Amino acid sequence: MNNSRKSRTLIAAQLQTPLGVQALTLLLIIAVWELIGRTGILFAELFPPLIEIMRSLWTYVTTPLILPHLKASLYEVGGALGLAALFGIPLGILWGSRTSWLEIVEPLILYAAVVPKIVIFPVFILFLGIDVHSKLAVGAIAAFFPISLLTIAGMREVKQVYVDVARTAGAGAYQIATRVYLPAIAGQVFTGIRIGMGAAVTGALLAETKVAKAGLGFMIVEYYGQFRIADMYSLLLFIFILAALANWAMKALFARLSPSARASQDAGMYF
Amino acid sequence: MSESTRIAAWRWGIIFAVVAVAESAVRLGWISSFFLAAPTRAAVVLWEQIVHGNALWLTAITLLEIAACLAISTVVGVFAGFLLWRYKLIGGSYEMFLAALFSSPVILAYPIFLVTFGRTSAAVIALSSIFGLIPIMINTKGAFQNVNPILLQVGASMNLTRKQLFRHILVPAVAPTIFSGFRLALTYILKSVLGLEYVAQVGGVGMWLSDAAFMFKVEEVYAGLLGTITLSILFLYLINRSEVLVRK
Amino acid sequence: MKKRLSAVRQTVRLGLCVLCVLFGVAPSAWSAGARTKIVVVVPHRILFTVALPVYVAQEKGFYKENNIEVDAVFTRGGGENVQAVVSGDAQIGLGTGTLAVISAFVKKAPIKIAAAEITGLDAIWYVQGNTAMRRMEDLAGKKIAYSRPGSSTHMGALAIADQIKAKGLKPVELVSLGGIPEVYTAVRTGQADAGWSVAPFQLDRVEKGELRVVVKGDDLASLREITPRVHFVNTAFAAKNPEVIRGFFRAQQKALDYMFENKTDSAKIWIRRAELKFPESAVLKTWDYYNRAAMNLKPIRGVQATVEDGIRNKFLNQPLSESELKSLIDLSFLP
Repeated sequence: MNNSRKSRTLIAAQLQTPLGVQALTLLLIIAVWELIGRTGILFAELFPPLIEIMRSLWTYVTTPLILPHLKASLYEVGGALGLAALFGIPLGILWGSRTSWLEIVEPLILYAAVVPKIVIFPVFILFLGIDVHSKLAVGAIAAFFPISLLTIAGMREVKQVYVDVARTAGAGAYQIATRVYLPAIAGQVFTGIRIGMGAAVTGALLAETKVAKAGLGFMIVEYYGQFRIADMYSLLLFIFILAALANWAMKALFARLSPSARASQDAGMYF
Repeated sequence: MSESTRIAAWRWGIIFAVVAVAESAVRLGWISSFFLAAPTRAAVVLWEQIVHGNALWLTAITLLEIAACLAISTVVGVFAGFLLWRYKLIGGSYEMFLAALFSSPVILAYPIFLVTFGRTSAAVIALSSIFGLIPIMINTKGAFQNVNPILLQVGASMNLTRKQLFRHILVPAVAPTIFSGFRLALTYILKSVLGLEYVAQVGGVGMWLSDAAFMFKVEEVYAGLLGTITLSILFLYLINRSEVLVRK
Repeated sequence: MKKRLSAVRQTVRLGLCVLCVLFGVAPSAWSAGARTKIVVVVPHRILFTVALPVYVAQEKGFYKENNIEVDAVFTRGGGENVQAVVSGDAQIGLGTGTLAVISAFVKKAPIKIAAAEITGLDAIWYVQGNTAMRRMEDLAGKKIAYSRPGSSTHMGALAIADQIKAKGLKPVELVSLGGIPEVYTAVRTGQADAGWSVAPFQLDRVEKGELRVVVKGDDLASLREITPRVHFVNTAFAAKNPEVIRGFFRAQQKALDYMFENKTDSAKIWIRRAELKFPESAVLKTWDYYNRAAMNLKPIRGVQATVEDGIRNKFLNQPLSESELKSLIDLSFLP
């Protein structure tokens, strides 16, 4: 009797931890999903059994089926993020280095940022063709905005007094840049890159749904077109897990690179 | 010339330069008019669509969708954000999931919303609300978390009831940050609504862009884009003004 | 200091290399040995009339026989197909709506129609298997779905409405519900009574009795003499490489003949290349909905009717002139 009470207390204690709550939530989602799917309360074909979804996901992990598509999408997203950072960070630093430039440029970027990039995808097809490069370009443009805007935000937060003190101590331009500005903006830049990654993924994969011969976005609409809903869900889950892992890895990497950097509280002031 | 006039002049100068380059590119044949419309033609077509066409009606549909998304995101987001703060266990449990969801391409799930809600504005509203929900939740939680404890101590020392404390101290303290969340949510919602309308060919302005693209009416596509940018300028201006009022 | 400068130079060079690689535009056509490589845009990797001939021609070496190598890229249809060919990055666009091609042509797109894809409508309309509806007449007073205004399924739905009206039956209601998956869901949830599809989609469900086909494209008399979809080419490429285009269509013709003479083998190729999850028996049923004659590459029929339809649906502002019609269609590349 005492033992069962002890184990019940232990279980209750375990459930009252974040991991316990997450596990309970997952179980609840599974239960509700299966209930909807099996009883037909809603259109059952949209709620395939979870075992089917997991089986499909297992195929991606254990066979080379998804590899050519993963390769294409990774190239597009990686290239997009790299290109966006290559232009976004220096431009953000440049624009943010003077208040007047900031006030001129920032609203223009904000207005342009709202335009869905998929609408101007045809212009990229014209210049870059229908292969991966046009999709890479769409992803790069999408990622450019959060990266540049957050870099600007970081520059804005650099206190002039730090720069003045460094100058007074005899620091040159390079030393001010690397010892004052870089550490101060690192947090915002890293946040911008993390949010930019999400934008690059969305931009590139959405472009793949329009014209492609390989890619994860391409496969999502293919499965949708064939009404292979379980395969579609599993692919979405696969992308979600990859994005979460990449996000976590970037966070860990940035924490190592710049332990003093403060991550942006409002996760992406602009996007 | 005052500083603000100088800044405005530079800004207009950049806009004019970009427009001039685009105009020249099309008129001189550097870029095919099949892919890019001359900005002047796009402006004329936009005006024609406003006066004689459906532009205003379609804009109204888009605005209604945005309003619906904002309402849903606000009600659910503020409540959920409060719960995330109030119950530390819930906040700690779901924060990582929210961050992961925030950075994943949820919009790719649009086909599921299309088959669930039909090719209607409901699908656009349902999916776009998710984009507004997360920034509001995160900002609301952050807002409550960052309330200056001194304010609460002052309230306690004045023997305020929990209700009075909430109404007269907590709410005014968190309002500015929550409002920043609205601003973020609104920009995400605007982008998502337009993008989904375009991809799913449903709704208002985005559907107009999609139909125009389908019929190769390039000037109309860019007229619609011009209208979209104008809409976003208006929204951002209104939000900035409201934010100033709230912070006062 | 020197070391640092050298490191900076190396980084800049590497960055430029990366930029070059990233922005390197793949040549859209080059000679791979004796064979010319061309890019062909296909509106769906599953469609019987466009994708399967390409797969068959690739697998059976028909393109190789004609000294060409085909790289197939898949799009979502009309708009993207035309943009790809206009940009020059693709040389041939397959299975695109005739109206879409004409619409782009009148807006000075450098394209022209080179062949017919199919004459007569190949869409089918189905209802739920547990209903009493069995023929077109049973759709009187019901909701019939089509994809979007101006599409071939819209033309088909209008033809159904006209045929039902001509019989003095209750008028139908037409609803624009989008693509095959959305329409299927709408029919299963009662939002529409009849949904559209193209074979092999939904044939597995027809085989199981969950759905029933009530209208085939061939039932629509007014559309039998219309070519709703065509193949088109980039005019500049065609002018410089007419023999390549001819070689492509010779191979296409051979692939179409092979498809109808070797159904089982073609079905196997189709299932493998398009990663079809339908059972082979359902896939083979597709041939019941098509005939070889309808897929002849020429002539192009019903252009005037298509233009009138385009004016009605605001794709076009006015009819085409004689010289425009002459420039639009060039069947000289066909065997």
